[in-house]
Amino acid sequence: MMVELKSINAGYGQIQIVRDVSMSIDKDEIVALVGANGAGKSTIIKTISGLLPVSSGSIIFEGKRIENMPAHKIITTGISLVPEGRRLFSYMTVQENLELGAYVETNQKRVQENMEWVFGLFPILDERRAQLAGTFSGGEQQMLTIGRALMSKPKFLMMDEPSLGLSPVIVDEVFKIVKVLQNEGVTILLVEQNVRKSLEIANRGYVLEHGGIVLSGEATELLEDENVKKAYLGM
Amino acid sequence: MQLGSGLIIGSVYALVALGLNIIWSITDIPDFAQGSFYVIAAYAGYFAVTLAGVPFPVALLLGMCVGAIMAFSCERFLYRRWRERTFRAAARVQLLVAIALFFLFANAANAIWTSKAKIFPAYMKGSLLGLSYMRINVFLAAIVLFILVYLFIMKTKPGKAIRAASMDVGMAQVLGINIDTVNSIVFAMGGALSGAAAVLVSPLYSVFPTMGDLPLLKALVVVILGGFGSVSGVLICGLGLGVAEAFGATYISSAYQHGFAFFVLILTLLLRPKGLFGRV
Ligand SMILES: Nc1ncnc2c1ncn2[C@@H]1O[C@H](COP(=O)(O)OP(=O)(O)O)[C@@H](O)[C@H]1O
Ligand SMILES: [Mg+2]
Repeated sequence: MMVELKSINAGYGQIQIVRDVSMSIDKDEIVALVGANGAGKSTIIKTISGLLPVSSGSIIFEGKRIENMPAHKIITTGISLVPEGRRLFSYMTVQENLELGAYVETNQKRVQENMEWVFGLFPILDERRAQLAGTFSGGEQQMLTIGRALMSKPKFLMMDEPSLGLSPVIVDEVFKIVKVLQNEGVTILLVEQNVRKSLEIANRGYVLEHGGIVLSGEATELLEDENVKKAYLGM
Repeated sequence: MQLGSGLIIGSVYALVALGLNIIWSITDIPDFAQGSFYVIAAYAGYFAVTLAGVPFPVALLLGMCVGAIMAFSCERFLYRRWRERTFRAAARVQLLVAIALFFLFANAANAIWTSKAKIFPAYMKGSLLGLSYMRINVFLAAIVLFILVYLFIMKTKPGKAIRAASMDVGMAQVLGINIDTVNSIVFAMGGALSGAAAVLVSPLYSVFPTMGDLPLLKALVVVILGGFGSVSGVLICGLGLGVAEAFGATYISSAYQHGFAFFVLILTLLLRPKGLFGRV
């Protein structure tokens, strides 16, 4: 098991949002975390990232407890994040954004290699290196966000609503990239409101409601589940 | 003549404002205490010259170090205490602490060195176009410091980390940037800039415990007008304010010289709530 959340409780200050959540993600899996708006998906991601503290429970990554690690250390373990809303540094160039993605990598040669890898996945970024991130279209910004997250050559990538607000063509492209990354050996936690699409590419899934996991299983099973169909697939 | 003296006092505003701006845009702390680091750095420079007889550039460096160490320590041992894992929440407490520190240090300076102004000996004779070299040096040094800060922020890896943190602290952390380190660097930089401004003007206006008040307040105006996070905006606004004051004092009334900045501030904010160059 690569990642394991053991009964974590977390939230914002006194406000508890995530209640007794346990999850696990195996190496090379895509695991989908689905749930309605406000269910607490992003809160779970922020907690794993170290941006929010756990009030109880533990988070284990490759056998090591990381729930008390400061946020800036998390990336050094091999975890990376495509945050909700992209959070690019919009007044910086594409190249600077990518370099910041490899901030913890001190070996310049490896930074170059990672950048080549990212440019191979997203040729558009190579062509636009010197452009300010803020001037990109939504789809391009999402590619840059994913590229930035890959610059640390992560083992485990958390993607929070990577297809939000994008046109259908770009959404398909994003999901294709997720699949490509899996084949390149990146383990992925995918948070999406596009429940059908994410369960279609995922190996397994968890359904979150009001901060608690209510259902989990193989993605194909979840797609057939009557409750999931009714609540999330509009059937 | 007005242009020259305006540019010089404007350089002082700009230097203090640059430090305040960097600190403010990254930590959300309007660090009023910079006004007292300014004073203490000036005294440090004064004593270094008068008691130890060091050359002026050494006194300048010393003043910068004193400013840097004081600002660094205040962040490290005070402001940081109120910055919990949700960083921005503590901003109001930190503002109060900043104001308290300003009055505390100002009071201490007054108690230790008395309110009597100390004459900082001239370190250079001669003038150019009616401006003494010492005045011109203030302007030149300010330009050099601005260029250095600009290059540091734009071109170096720690500089880019600082810029990233000023845009999105949480995201910067996720990418591995240690915010404690960033804060230490920006406070030390801010203190060094205040210290530099103080020692540079001391030979022109003498050294006294309240000498930091006006530069501090004017610098706050410059930061707000110049827009958070903008290095060039601060330089232009700082120099512009100095020049406007100098002309205003000559052609309108010198009695209103120090109110002018605040009048402009309110007027500008009414018209452009984000300041002239504001982006964040
Ligand atoms: N910064 C915050 N402070 C307090 N409550 C928050 C904050 N961010 C989100 N919440 C609350 O936490 C709950 C879960 O939010 P979130 O994790 O963003 O949901 P999701 O990502 O599943 O849409 C919501 O009720 C939201 O209002
Ligand atoms: Mg969310």
